[in-house]
Amino acid sequence: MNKEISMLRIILQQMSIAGFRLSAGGFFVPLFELPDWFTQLYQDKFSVYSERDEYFLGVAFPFIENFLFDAEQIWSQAKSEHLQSGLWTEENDKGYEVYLEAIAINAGNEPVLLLTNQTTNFDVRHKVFQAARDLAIKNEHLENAVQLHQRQLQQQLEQLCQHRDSFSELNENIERDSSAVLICRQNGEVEVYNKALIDIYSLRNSIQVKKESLLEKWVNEAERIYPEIHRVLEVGEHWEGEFETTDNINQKKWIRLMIAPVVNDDDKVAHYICIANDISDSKVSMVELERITQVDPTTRLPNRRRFWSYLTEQIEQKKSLGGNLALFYVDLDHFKQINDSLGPEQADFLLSTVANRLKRSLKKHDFVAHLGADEFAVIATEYRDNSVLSTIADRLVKGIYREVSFNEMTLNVSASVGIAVYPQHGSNARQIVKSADYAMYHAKEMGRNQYQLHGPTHISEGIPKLHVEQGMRNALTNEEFELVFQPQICIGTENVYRAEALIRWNHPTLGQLAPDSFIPIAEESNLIIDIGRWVIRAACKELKILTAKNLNVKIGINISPKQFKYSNIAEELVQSISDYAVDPSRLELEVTESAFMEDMDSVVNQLQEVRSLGVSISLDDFGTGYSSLSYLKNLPADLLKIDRSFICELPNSKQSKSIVESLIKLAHELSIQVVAEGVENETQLNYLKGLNCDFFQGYLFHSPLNAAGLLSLYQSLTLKENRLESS
Amino acid sequence: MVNKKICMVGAFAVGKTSLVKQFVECIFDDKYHTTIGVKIDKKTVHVGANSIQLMIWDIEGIDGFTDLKPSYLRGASGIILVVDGTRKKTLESAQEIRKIVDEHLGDIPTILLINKSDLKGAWQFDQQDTEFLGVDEDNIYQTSAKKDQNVELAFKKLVELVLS
Ligand SMILES: Nc1nc2c(ncn2[C@@H]2O[C@H](COP(=O)(O)OP(=O)(O)OP(=O)(O)O)[C@@H](O)[C@H]2O)c(=O)[nH]1
Ligand SMILES: [Mg+2]
Repeated sequence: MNKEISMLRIILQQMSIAGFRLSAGGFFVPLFELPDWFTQLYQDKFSVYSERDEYFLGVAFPFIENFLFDAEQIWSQAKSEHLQSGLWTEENDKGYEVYLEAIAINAGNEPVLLLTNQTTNFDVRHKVFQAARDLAIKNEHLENAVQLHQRQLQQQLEQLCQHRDSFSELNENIERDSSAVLICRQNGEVEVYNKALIDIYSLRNSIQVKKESLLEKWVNEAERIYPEIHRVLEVGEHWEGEFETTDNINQKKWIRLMIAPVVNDDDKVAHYICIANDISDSKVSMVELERITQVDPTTRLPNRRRFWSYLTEQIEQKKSLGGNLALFYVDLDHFKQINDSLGPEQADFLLSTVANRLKRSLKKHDFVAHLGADEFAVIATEYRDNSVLSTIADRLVKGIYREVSFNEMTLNVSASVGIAVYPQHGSNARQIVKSADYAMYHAKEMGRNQYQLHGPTHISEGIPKLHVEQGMRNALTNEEFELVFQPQICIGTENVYRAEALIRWNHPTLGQLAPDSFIPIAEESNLIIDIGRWVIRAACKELKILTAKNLNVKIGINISPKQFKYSNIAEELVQSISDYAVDPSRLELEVTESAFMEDMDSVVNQLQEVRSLGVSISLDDFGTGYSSLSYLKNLPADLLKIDRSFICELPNSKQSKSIVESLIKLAHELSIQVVAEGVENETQLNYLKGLNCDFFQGYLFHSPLNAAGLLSLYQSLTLKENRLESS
Repeated sequence: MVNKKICMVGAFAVGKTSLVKQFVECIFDDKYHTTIGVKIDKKTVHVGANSIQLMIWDIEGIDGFTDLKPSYLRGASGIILVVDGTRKKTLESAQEIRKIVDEHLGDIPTILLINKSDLKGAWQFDQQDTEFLGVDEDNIYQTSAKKDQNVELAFKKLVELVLS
């Protein structure tokens, strides 16, 4: 444990971070030795000398004083969270500027404040913003110059228009002007134009000008951002604005256009004077600038803002030109635990590692963004057809799933990926993001470290049973089955982790399937015997891996009633236990009440045999059968699981309450421990705790994880516990 | 001594930092060095028999990729809203800021500075064009951080408003 402490100390020192804990007295106490820059600065700012390790940061730094209000919010919450203050500048006594940022962290209910010195990073960031703003000002001036010129020209032309019947003199005036000029009648008929107009629109000759009704085209193009343009022109007012236009050879340009109606003596619009300038250059450079500033500083990837504009842009393009677009929503598994136990600096390191891995596993024209925290997104616009999506997703998942080495330890990172496709899963950016996010959530539910395409994957009514049966036979030989694990949270005893093994079928065409879509068919055909055997072996294999990593985990295996009838469970257990050399007390058989319905004596005998091996027994879905309570005392059981249908009605249903209360009481009298399944909220949790329920399971805690996910969860939990113990 | 927090807000490059520098240190630099985040300067002013320490928060200017963080405004007693007479666009940013300030601080003493009055020939708008911002005419100043025009006067006026 001291090792981790000294690691942390080194990390803070190396990163030049001043770390504090807020004491009950309202002052800050350093976590470790403070870096020199801080001590010096603090002395400059807070001249009261103190022998003690008490720092009054709010007094010394008004910026921190203000930030503490926001920090309090973080500290008063029960969750582990952090908040960054944003940069601020302090000047030391020698007149040098130091750039700082404060981070408030709720570290396991301890209010922690980190002060980071950003002076070295500051230069790069400053350069980008400085360049952006210098350019923005330059462009503003350019735009102003254009505007001024257009207005002067318009006044000049208007006067000439009002006093002449012929345009010949006008022509000479405007021919060489850098602004494009077009004068036309109200119906669009062209009267005068100049060379600049032909240039901007890449027109071939003057005949084309006469034919193109540019005025109408302009109004239609401008209307998209200036819906009021029609009205303005109709009432004879003058209009100006900037918009995107397409020239004669289909190139997109930005122009600044002014349209000024000229009224004749009887107050009717006689002509329109139109003046246009190509402003593409400054527009494009501004867009480019936005692009470079829309970068996430941790990962150097485009940020959320950039992501949305890119996605919207691409969808618009697909809308008009056709084609598909795929969005991959990537979410790291257990990032929160990693972040909580390692701290934000190491978490940042992890994020940039993941960013690099993502970039490496993609093609050049794929777009990757860091949406914040542990979320990333990939947009693929150039791929053959939807059948390659799984290849891309697979590359992403595999690309990320490797160990990350920190100074003296390694962690497994994995990610869950959700995929949605435009236009199948939504017609706009928001819908596509929602669909991909939903699919990602599904991937998490299915055990993490995997991908899911948006849309339900259940075996549909249409697929014949035989097909499924044959598929399952192949699945065993092709290793398409997989175990995922639902962790159970244990209140009271530390360091014992429990997880229930659940089977999944990675169907080659249907995607991942949950057991309720194939196990009933397997039970009908006795395939359940082979699958059951596979489950026992796979669970032992996993146990071996976890034990090798020094993780004390107990794995529960579901046993079908059919297995008692047609196979010798005890024998299969003996075989697997010795093959994988695992401790039998780390295994548990989960038996449903229905197993006792047919031949209770035989099942009880088999269970006693199993127990004599050291394997424990839990009774699943308990309470749903008819006479559960009365025969509980005759069953060889160590653990009893209360079915979720009772739990979900807690604490409102009187009936459920009385069943749950008496079950727990009776079980405890028989020295049987109790697990509550399907705990969904705090109220239920607190109610069950009040009844001394021993274990809790449900989405409130964790959804099922795959083997890799389970490993990294337990690793990070151990890390956290060790840290808590040591502090 | 009483402390009062004053916030300098506005679009980028309107001269917020230059105005503070002129007011606090009586210096001016022609080179533009954009502010990132916040810098706090202190200056003591005397009003009648009282001394007041101003905590002047020079807050980064807003643009297409930087928004005003409302948490920076917390506890402010007065606002100095700055626009640049030579750039009409800075009026739009000022309006945006007015909304945010209004939302978080309500009706707080505010003065509006139309800065760069030494470049009046290049001004794109005049005082009348700022009416829509809803700042009382008595609280609008045309300033130059470069030529030190009206800078001290404007700060003093805000202090007056804050104290009254
Ligand atoms: N001519 C003139 N230039 C000024 C005046 N005030 C500021 N400037 C110049 O305008 C530019 C921007 O000034 P800053 O004070 O850095 O502007 P700011 O509002 O702090 O900008 P950000 O920190 O980017 O938001 C600099 O080049 C200054 O020299 C003024 O009164 N007259
Ligand atoms: Mg500044």
